[in-house]
Amino acid sequence: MKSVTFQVNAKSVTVDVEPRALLVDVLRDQLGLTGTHVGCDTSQCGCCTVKMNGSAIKSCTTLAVQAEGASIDTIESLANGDQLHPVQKAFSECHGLQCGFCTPGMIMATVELLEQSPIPTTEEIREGLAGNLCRCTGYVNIERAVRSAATALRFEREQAAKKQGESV
Amino acid sequence: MSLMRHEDERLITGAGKFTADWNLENQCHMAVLRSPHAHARVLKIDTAGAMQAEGVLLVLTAADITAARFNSIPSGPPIKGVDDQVIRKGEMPVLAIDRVRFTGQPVAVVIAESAVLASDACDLIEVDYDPLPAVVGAESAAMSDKPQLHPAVEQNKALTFESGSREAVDQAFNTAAKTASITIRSQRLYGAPLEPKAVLANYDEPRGMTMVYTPTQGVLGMQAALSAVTGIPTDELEIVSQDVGGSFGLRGGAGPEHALVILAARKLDRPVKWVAGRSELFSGEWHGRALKLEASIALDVNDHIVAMRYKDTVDLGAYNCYFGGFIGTNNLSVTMGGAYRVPALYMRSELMLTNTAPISAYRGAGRPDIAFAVERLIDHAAAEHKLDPVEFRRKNFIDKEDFPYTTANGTVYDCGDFHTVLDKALALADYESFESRNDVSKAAGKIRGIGVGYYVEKSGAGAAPKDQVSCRRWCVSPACGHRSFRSGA
Repeated sequence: MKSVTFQVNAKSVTVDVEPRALLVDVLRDQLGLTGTHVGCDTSQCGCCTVKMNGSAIKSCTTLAVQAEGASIDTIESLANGDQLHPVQKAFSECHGLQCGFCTPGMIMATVELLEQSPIPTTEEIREGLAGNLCRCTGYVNIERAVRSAATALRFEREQAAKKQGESV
Repeated sequence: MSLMRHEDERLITGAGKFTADWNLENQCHMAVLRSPHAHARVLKIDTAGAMQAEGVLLVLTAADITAARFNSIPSGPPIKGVDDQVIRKGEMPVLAIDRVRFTGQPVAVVIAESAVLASDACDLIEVDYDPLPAVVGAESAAMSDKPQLHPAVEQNKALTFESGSREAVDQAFNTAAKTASITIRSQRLYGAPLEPKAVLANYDEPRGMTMVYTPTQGVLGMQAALSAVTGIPTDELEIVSQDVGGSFGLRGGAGPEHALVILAARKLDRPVKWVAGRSELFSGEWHGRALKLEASIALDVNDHIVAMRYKDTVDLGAYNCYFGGFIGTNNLSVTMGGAYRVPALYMRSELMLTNTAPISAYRGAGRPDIAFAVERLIDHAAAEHKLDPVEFRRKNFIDKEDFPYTTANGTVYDCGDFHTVLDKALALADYESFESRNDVSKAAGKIRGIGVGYYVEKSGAGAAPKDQVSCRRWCVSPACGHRSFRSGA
């Protein structure tokens, strides 16, 4: 067993893990964060996508010991109380989900995608989500959700800038 | 703003409850040891090493299943074929008894304090296999040099099924002005719902209920199947599947793992959980399709269809499972005439057993396959005899006035307006302007294509149990027998 300390959703945690333990299993089984899913064990499906130090990573092929000192964000951290994150809202409004199993990973990958490409082209959306599989929707509504979230986030940024301008 | 689904909130915030997300106090974990051989005798299973491994609580082999008086996995109804012959079956045992018949078949299970320890201990089980020649490919399964898989299934032929009239079709072909033939292969596949198969079972002693948490598309079908395997009455079995990550036909009934988890939970008096890895499901879960359809059509001098004929080779895999028999029989034959007036229809299907994963339902279970065959046959005949694919279809559509229409093999179509639907589809596709658009594409060095397809499908499986809400003395919650669908099932 090895003791590992890292931040999860802005809280510091210390857990004893086997050196071979995967980050996703520690998140789910030891920390009770079952919103992050395991679909394939082989980095194909992206259900296990979380953010590590700001980058979207696949937690099913990351060892828990690699998270030492890191900051991890999971789907559970995204909403601010009752206030859904614009990406979460967009997935629901655009029907970018059916069964919902891939959705936490899709949303986490989209959050990173929109941080890197705030106004993504169709190609950028497809490339950004190439590592996330959905068996229900056929991806059309997922693309719509990403575009809609991009618009909402841009509006939020503009409002924030305006407010800042007013206060100055 | 569009209408939001009430279940979305939990699914987009990570608060969904898929089977692997449930954890019960004091639960332990199961791992499955599967056959690495397509066909082999099982001479000996030595579990001593696994039993002594860290954290191991229980190891189960076929002897434990027999001692528990569990039955084999449900193998479907007694479908009748040619000469009233009832389907011959190879029933799948919960754990392989003295022979394994497909790669991925469960041979033994380990239950331990953690999933990792259970998996580690599986590696310590020693199985002495004597590999046998394997039957691969339904077309050659009946050849004399192939081994017979099951004592009750001579030449590996489970059933010869027919529908319609061979005489009428032969006669129509003999006097036809034109004929055309095409072979359709609907390849074997694994349906792969994104949520891996999982089971968590617990015996709730105060209520006398066996609780089974598992993803399924039909709670009552799952309940009935598990009752048939375990002998537990249906009203003492409660199935919980709050969120389901896809089913696609695969998860409609019980597999061996459900029975194993229930037995282990009973023996240990603790909740037992099994969550499959994706790779074990590729070989260990039901497969789909695996059909070959040889289709022929006969036309008169006016290009009216006078007959259609199908010869199907249907791979059932190594065992008959609950849905496999329907695919090559009812589901392929019921709409074999498609949307067309066909005075003579005949289908003959050979259902074969092979050393491959058992075949069950997948997304339509034969119905998309026959629709594809009908439409490919129509297009192929049109191309071969230089007929316009749209006009050829129109000429042969069952007209609005002809409904209710009974097909030559006895299926009643209650209503339809195929001409109007096709008109709308062609308008939406801007079919008329295709040639001019194609010219533009050609000039730009691009390739453009267009296709026409029209299909009718019998929805629902007919004899399958229906989901319903039931209020019982001990429970009025929806968990008793109700599921609402959110998946691409």
